Amino acid sequence: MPLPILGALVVLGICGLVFLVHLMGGTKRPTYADEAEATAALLVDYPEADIRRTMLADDGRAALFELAYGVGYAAPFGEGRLTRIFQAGDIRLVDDGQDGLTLHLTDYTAPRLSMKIAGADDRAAWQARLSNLGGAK
Amino acid sequence: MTAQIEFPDVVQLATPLFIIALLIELFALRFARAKGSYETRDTLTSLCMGAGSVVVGIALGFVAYGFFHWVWQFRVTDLGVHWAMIVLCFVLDDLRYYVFHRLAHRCRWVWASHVNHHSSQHYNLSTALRQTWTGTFTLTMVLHAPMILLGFSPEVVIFVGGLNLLYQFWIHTEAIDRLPGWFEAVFNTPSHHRVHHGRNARYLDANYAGTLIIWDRMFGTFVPETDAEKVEYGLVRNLGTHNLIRVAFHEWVGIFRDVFRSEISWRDRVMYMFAPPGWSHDGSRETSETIKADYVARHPEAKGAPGLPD
Repeated sequence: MPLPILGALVVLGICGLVFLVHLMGGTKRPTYADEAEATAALLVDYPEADIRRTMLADDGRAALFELAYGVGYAAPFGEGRLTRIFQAGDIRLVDDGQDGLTLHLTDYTAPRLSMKIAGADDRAAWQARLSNLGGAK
Repeated sequence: MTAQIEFPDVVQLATPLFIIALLIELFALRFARAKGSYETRDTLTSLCMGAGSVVVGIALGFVAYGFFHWVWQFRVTDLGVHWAMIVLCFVLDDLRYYVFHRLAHRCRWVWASHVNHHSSQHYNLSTALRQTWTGTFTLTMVLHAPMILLGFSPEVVIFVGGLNLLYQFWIHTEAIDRLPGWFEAVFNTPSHHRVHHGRNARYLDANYAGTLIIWDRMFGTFVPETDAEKVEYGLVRNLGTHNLIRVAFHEWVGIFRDVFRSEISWRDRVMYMFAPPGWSHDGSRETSETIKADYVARHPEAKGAPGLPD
């Protein structure tokens, strides 16, 4: 097959298929209905996690967990999920963006995570906790 | 004799079929309630990885091609292009693929290239196209050498390798449940390959087959799909990005970071490159063996089940 035809076919194919997936609802972002659902997601990947406290983001698109050792994170990711347990050295910076927190990680496979937290006190508390992962709480 | 016959690039020729098949699967999901799911960014990532793989193949294909022709001069004989020889070559190449694929999951250097194919948490026909950009760097092209030395020409070897990849396209779907018993016994099927893409403890490191599942049955790596445990697709530690560069190179970056750690021995550095994925010098990471052992410790009733230790 001539290269220009192959190239055109690939570009048009990708654009058309992705647009079709979008039209069929593929861009809809799933959320956790409640803390229990978010907790269940974390426990699938980290069954040994000793959860002391859970906080679901205001839009249900992520959750933070205070663990016996470290802080857990869970978020829907397509049909699946993204889960992490943060230890000392995993977080470079925690940005307070007024309506939520943005975590800048050392993890190349998940460099930046965000979650909506409207409450200023909650944001401040989690920012302080995430910025000081050296010890258990 | 061999050089006078031109073999088509089957993967390039099949590109329109890939698009049509994806359309059929999408419509089956939408209108026939077939099993499976698509997500927009996941699909875009998979398709772009596939397109990138074709581009890299065009740009770097000369490396494997040159190597194959260099080996060809040392052949024992020329087995020609009779159809029976092509069938034999296909079967032997399928065994070669099994060895390659097992290595791709058990040696981090090769896994670094192969991992992106497993990085989607969806399992659909677009996942089949989520192909590597870095296969050339693994040097696993050497696994073709025995066949070429035996007398199968590079053109025949490349042709049957393309057919094998083509076969593997349609098995990346949840829309097809189980096929007739005789077919499931001999051939790789959507059910067998769903297991291969599973991140569940029982499904890790299983079903490496390309076309014929008989290799897994022969070498003890076959694990059947069980209705008792739904397959969870993706990686043990899933990616939190759709960035193509991160998807394509994340494990290479991981190797680089580990190899250049301070205060580890030279043996550790070599192990970080070639030991099974998850190996660490201090045992702080999970390998498929520790994941399976932990699972059995939590679920003693599953001890000895297919894919799990006794």
